Amino acid sequence: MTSTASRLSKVEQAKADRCGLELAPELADLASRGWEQLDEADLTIRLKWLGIFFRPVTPGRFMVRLRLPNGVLQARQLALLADTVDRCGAEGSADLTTRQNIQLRGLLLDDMAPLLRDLEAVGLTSHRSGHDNPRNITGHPLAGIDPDELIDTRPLADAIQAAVLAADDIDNLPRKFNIAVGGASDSFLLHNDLAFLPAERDGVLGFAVQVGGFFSGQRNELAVPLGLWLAPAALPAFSLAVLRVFHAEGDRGNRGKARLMYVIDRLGLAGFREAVLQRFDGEAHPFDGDHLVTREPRPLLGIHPQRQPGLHWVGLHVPLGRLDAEGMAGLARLATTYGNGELRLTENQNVLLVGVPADRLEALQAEPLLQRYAPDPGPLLAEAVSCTGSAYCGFALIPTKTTAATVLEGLQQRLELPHPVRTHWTGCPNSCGQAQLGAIGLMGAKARHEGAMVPAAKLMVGGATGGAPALAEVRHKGIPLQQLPDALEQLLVDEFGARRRPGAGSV
Amino acid sequence: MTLASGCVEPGLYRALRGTDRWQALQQLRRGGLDRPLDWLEALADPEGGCDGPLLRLIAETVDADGPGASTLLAWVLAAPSADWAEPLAALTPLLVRRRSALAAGLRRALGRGGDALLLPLLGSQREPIDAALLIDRARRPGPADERRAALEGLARGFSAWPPRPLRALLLELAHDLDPLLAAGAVDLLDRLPWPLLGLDRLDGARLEPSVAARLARRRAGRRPSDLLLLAHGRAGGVAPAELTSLVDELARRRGGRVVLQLLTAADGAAAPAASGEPAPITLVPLFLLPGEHVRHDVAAVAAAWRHRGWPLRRLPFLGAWPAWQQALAQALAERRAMGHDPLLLHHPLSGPLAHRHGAALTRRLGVPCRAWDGADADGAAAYMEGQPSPVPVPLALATNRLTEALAASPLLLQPRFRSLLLEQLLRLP
Repeated sequence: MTSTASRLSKVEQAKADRCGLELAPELADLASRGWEQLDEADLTIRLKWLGIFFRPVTPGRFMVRLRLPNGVLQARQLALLADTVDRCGAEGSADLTTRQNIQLRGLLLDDMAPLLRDLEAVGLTSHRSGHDNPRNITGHPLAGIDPDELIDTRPLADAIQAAVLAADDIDNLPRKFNIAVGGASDSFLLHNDLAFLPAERDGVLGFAVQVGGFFSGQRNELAVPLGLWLAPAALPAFSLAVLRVFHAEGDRGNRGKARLMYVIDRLGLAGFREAVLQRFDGEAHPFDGDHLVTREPRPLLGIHPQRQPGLHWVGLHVPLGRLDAEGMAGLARLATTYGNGELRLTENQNVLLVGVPADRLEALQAEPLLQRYAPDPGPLLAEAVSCTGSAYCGFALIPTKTTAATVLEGLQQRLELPHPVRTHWTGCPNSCGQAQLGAIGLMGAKARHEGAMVPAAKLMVGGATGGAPALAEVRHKGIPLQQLPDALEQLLVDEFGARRRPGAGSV
Repeated sequence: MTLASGCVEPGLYRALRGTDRWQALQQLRRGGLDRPLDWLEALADPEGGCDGPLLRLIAETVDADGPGASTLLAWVLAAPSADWAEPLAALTPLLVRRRSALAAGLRRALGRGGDALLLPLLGSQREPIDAALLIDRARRPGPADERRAALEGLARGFSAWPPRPLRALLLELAHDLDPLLAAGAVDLLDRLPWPLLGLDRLDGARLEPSVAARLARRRAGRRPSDLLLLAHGRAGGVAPAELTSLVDELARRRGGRVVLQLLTAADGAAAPAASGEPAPITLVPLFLLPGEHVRHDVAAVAAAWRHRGWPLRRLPFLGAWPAWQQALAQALAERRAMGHDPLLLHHPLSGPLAHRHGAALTRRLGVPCRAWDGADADGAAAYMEGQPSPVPVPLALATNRLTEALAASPLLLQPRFRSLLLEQLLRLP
């Protein structure tokens, strides 16, 4: 054990006792005997190694989180997920996540064994998608179709996932771990523990390595340059080397200080780099040059020409990333009817249909489903990101998704904006909604209003995700939700060039 | 349990009431609550309403199996039911596992206006005694939200409830005027073992259009369960050709596994190890009379398969199926109409049940049934000599010594019976 491991926390003890992957063959039996047969640690911790989440807010209704490297999803896969959600009736739904991923809600434990079999049959997995594991590997949502692409991130994300899932010596990390691969000049990745940013070295395109990014209730950091450059083929092995250092050196006594940046703090950047290189059997070159990420992520919604002549991607807005079975089945149908049968998920929780020929665009635009998932939802809704919120999460202090939808729709009716404004909504300081990245960030809070504590939002402003990245700074510690529309309206007018529409009433 | 007692540190308490409360909660979460119930005082702050996160922290800290858990639940339920929603959600760490004392607390609070909140939680407690209550509340006319909550309770504790009354309820609710309730019932029918057993019974029913569409989606996604055909077989575990032919056609047309198990095989009563991954399977005893095999061997075979982890449903022996008996009666009546005088011959039976069945069969078919224990053709011929103008009809499904001795076709080689059996087996869910 490491020098930092003085006493195992309750979670660490549970992980040390048994790996959650061992529960896989028992799922059918557990369903027939009932989930109360599960050890409490199995239920709340170990099942997450299979991507199965017990939800305290809806005990008995479980969530399943998939792994979708680079956010690539085939229509037949989405159709299966739609059917799975459909079987959950009014309790069923799905969320698109900020890691280009999908999580299904409302499932019974009885559903799990057949679902995991069905997922495997269509080439999907949910393994190790939760808890202290390397989470979904993200890449550029336009990989392979982007006219401005530097490098196709899809095979790299796939290869990293394959390496990670095959390595059984890192199935018990001290904490969760995020890996991302950038493929274009607008690939913002610095909120990841391990980020590969496209960079040239001696005229060869590869990746600059940055490490240690994360957001939490205690600390928020952007990833810092590790001073190394890698050829694309080295990414899987290098990722494993970093994970092995994290596995060995991470703090297992204090989960609040267990993320990778704390290891870097303790070893020093040079010491950390040395530890990684000792475990890396490949070529890593010293690098102090600039990476090629120079601009904010571009808007992806609407119709855009692909790199392939005559083909287009169509970005559709999924309001706050929440889908129902009908919507999922509809999107799968659109992808096969109009596109090449493939969909892409974005970190902004939206969907791209790809490979749509020019002569199919008009018919696609006439589809009734595009009333629901609009290609042009307006400048605020287009760029809104939200965590799950208090509807499903015990930590969240406010219902982020419904609050965001109501407030932003109202503001769009009242205001004209010259350009989209990125808002990030998160329910608590754990910041799953990445409030620090928003041009405007909102974080669930409580505030005193008319003598009582009421739900509120902490206001942050100034998050930048371009060539000069910055975290948003706190502007207000807690605005009561009922006052939030007016406060945001004023902010948008004062600082984002918004103009009030003539005759618009209050929000 | 007051602040004055000093159990709750005042500075921390103030922080909890202020804008830095999340950090204060984290501090408490990391440090732990020595005496969690003392913090109920902080929760009672009239300005604060329900402090869900703090209550959740208390619920996470209190001994879930001790009296403190019941005290905490009682404290929440002592409030007017209109104020239960957030506190009950915060208590779910306590309700993660089945705890009879807490289930009793939830049960006692029913009828006070918060049943729509309590019934799902009660269901997730999975106390077997609550099956009847939840079924009754889902079925009984009443507020829609409470009936839906009862159905949600049944969903959350799904595998804890007896399947038969549950299936009966769900079949009933599928016709309900509340489409949400009806849709939920269809989805739960789909999760019961042998889902088509319930779903097929709704085929053609007058359902609300969205529910009918849901039913169609659920049925489309299901294939029939696997079949285990249990038959006698010939010496050495040899299967008569007409049996293997039936199995082949069944497997082809049902699209699932069809396993033929013969009692004459070396491991006759055991579950074959090579039958693959356990899955729901329906045992069809292909016996025509309730002899020793039906009374003892069928149960032993079922137990062996279940022991290997196969969810198994047993059907009555073939000879007891009304459609089979009707077909037999029809065939015999046709023979009589042709001027023949049929006599059913069957292998010897023992035990009062078998004899009663034979007598009942004679009455129902209007044809005498006799046991034949001869070992060869000469014996059979000698047996027939004393009978008045008899036309012997062997009551045998597949070729055996009797059919060979009488040079008669077994029933499975007669198109009428083969078609009937095939049709019946194809219809099985």
